[in-house]
Amino acid sequence: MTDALKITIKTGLIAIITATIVSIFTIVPFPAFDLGPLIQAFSKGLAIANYWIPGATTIIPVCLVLLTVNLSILLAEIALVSTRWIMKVNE
Amino acid sequence: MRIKKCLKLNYLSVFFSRLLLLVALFCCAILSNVIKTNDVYARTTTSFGIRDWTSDAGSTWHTLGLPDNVTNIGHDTPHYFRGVRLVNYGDWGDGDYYSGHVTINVTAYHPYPAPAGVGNIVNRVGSEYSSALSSNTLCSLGAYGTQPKSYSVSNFSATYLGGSIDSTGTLYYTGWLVEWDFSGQMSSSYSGSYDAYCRIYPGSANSEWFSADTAAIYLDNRTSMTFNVSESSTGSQIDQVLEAQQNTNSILQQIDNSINNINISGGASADDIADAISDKEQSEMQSAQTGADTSANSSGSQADSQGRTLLNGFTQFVDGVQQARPATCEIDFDLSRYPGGTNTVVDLCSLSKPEYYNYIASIVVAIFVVRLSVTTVTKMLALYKEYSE
Repeated sequence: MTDALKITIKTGLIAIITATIVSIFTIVPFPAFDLGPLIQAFSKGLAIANYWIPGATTIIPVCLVLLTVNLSILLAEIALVSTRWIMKVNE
Repeated sequence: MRIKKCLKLNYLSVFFSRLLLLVALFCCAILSNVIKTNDVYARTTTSFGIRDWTSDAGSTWHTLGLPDNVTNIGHDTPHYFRGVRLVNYGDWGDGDYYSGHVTINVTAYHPYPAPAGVGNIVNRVGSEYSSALSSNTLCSLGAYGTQPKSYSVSNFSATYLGGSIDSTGTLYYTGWLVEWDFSGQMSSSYSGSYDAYCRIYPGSANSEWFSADTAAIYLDNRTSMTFNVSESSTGSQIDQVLEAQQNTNSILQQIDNSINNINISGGASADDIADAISDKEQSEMQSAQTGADTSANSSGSQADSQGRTLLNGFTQFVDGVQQARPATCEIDFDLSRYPGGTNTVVDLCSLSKPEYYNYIASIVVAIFVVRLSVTTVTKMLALYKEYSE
């Protein structure tokens, strides 16, 4: 099997996996669910956090931004590892 | 390789271990305070309560926004409505001197409409009980019931708003508007976050705001309470956090519309009316809390008809979270399950915190945030290095 064929197959696999994940999130319909209780629970948690965590209203958004950045880094790392796996054809 | 270590979710395990530590400290702090706490009556964070002293000797507060039905009260045993309290938790500023303004707009519903001019609710405010109510107001800081060193009232007014007559000529709701300015001094200085409350009730027995044989009682959306807290009574020093929160929550804001839009027929029962109001308020509250704007709502309804995608659900959840406000954080701990315990409602936002709590919590939070920041930067550098190779 030539290197080009290996790369093509691996690329196809990655593309299929990516497309599946994206379609699950954006196309496949799920039964509607009521978000009200979740948001109310969040509001209640926020009220508790406001009281028990010093500077919660400042810290919570900062933490959420940091976690979002971390998630982005994780995605970038996955992309990097995937690319290296695709290009590794000499094994 | 570092990338592989990251993919082993090493970082996530560290993160969750820190989170677990925080949760454990939080739980320990709560438990230590619950054990010390006896009776905590204060409701918090934009939660107002209506208190009816007649039915249960004043031990129960009813949550604002939900119909407070007074049913099954016979004509021979009139039900006396004796008081209202407003409690709000927030950052009210540092100091022991305070002042402010409170407006209370109470509406009483007639589940069984009475002929115009007759009414089955007897008004006491604005007549002989006006002065009695004026002398029995109290606004203070701290948990409900905290007594100030001094307290004074000015510009008190109690207005009977009259009744509303529907197309059939029947009287179906009546209202009162009571407001006053206040100022006072606490025995010690407050700082940080704490409760502020106002209450009004006649002090002596057999005096009431109004009596009703049957009524549903609400606080309307004009109800508000503002506090200014300072370290000086002269106002020459800088007041800290003067602009108090307008304590009109989303439920309150819907009440007038709910009242005005409900179609009451002569044969409607008290339960029918209460259910109609409750349903309408719940739908409006849910609409407000899911919080999507017009486009989000339209896309949401479209998604609902065909099923919602995860991305839609996530987007709407984020919209709702962005518009979510701190709610009441009342949790009932059944202390009777423990030796020597009693049935006690413990409000997590009203428990006393030990003095050292803020120092320890600040250090833990700072360590958590710094650790998270450092880890993030480290991972970014590692990623940059990996891409460069």
